[in-house]
Amino acid sequence: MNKSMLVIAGALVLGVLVEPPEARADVTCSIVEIEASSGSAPAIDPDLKALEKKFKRPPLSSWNTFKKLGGASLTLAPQQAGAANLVHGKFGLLLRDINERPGKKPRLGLGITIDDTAGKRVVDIKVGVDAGDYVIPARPLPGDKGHLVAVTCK
Amino acid sequence: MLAADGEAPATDLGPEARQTTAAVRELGELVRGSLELSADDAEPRLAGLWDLIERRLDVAEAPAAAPVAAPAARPSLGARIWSWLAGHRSHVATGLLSAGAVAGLSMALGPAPTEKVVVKTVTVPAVQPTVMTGSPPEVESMELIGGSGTVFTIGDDDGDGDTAVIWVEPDEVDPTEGI
Amino acid sequence: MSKRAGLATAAAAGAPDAGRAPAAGAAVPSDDRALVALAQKGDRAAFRTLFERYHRRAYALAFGVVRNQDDALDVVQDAFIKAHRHLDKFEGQASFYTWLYRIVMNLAIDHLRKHKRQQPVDFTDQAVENAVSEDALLPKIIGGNPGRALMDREIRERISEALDSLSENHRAVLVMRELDGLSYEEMAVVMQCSKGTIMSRLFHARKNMQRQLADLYQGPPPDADGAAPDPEDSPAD
Repeated sequence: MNKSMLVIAGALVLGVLVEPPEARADVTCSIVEIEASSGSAPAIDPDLKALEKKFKRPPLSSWNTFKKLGGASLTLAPQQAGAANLVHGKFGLLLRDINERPGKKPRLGLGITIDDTAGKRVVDIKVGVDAGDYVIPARPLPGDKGHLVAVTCK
Repeated sequence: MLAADGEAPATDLGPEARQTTAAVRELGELVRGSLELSADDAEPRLAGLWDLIERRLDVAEAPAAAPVAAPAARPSLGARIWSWLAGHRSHVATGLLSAGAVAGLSMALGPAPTEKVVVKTVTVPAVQPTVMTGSPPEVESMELIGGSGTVFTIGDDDGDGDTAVIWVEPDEVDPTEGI
Repeated sequence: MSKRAGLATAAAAGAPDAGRAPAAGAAVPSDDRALVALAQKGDRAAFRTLFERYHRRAYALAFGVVRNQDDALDVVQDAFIKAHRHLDKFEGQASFYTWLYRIVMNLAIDHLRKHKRQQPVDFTDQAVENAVSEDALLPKIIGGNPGRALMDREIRERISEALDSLSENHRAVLVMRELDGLSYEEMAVVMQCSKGTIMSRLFHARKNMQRQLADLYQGPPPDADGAAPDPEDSPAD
């Protein structure tokens, strides 16, 4: 009987803890707003460590100072849109579709829009990107600075 | 051609000019009909076009994402367990039912207390993890109001994936009225 | 002709000139003007009505230029988004449809250029402008009812291939003229070029179409009183 009690106890714990797997219904997208500039010495915001290697490659290597202005996280289902306010405008994101591919990272169809502070649409793109990869719309700011919005979704 | 397009009167045309006018009109009918049939072919997708447009309009007009709220004070352990159980009620019920079924099965199929249990160890060869290959980001369309864009792809050289940098440069004003 | 009313149906719902875009400078259909005014104030339903009224025609125009269903749908979608975004700047100097037409046309041609599709080279419009004459276009026709001709799948494919073979500028003016009956002046406004350039492009578009379809041509059309020509009289091709 001891063995049966152990089996019952184990099944009880297992049955309670294991949740049924859910179909992939949404993705979480991270949006980071960055101001890039050229200073006397290189400086990268500690919060931007994940992007450091990319900053050292063209065209982002045009600058040497990267400051995080803000960030947001959006969880979207397919065909769902979200938005986030930026210091330098407004950001919109549409998850168009998710393409699961065996042996490969899922491919996400995104629609990205950026309006400037005057409400004028300056970026409107549709892009296909692997889950976890980055898309970074970038545009000039006065004073030879750059405005970057790093987007990644998984 | 001018007469066929209504840009010149058709009253003084000779026979051959009239035939040309008829030929131009017939060609026009064929082109128009061909395009209308193409619109018919696209009807199922055209029917869903407004939904796509409306979503994009909603994105443009959507309010900003709400700021992440500061976490509330942590409740007591008992309250947290009860809260978890309440939230996972269905899983708990499933777990109990499963436990009952497994218990019944184990009692029916398990060895008699006096039977000797032999434990066998089978070594399963390690499964090589699948390398999840990827593709670089692809910009499918780009509309840059009053500007031009260039797409740079920063390759994946240390396993953190490809990156698309879309560099936007402002341009001159669009000549379309009011834009 | 199947579903010819299709393109005109949405326009007929409100525009008095069904099947034809209002001429530049002509009175704008009053309910179009009212819808635009409401949409400018943020009335989404009013903008949707404008969309329902013109989206099929906009699609046919876009498809005529870009020659790909997916691309044409993208162009139409982008055109209406752009129209909505800039609706507050629409001053009513042209009709809403002409204004939308320009947006669709510009986006369609931009789309072709961005995707760098292989395009036939244009003749220099100015150099051949003087060559436009009635004699240069063939007097022959395919014969019979054009609608019936289009029901023949082979003929429909040949027409589609002939349109594909045109340059983007030639195809654009041919599509505008034949789809919506725009005048040379209206087309010049849409394409931001001279009326003479429009005439030249239209002439060459038709000439190239006739050349592509040359083997389908049977002979001269019926004479003025409708009698069919005697086959014995048809010149050999």
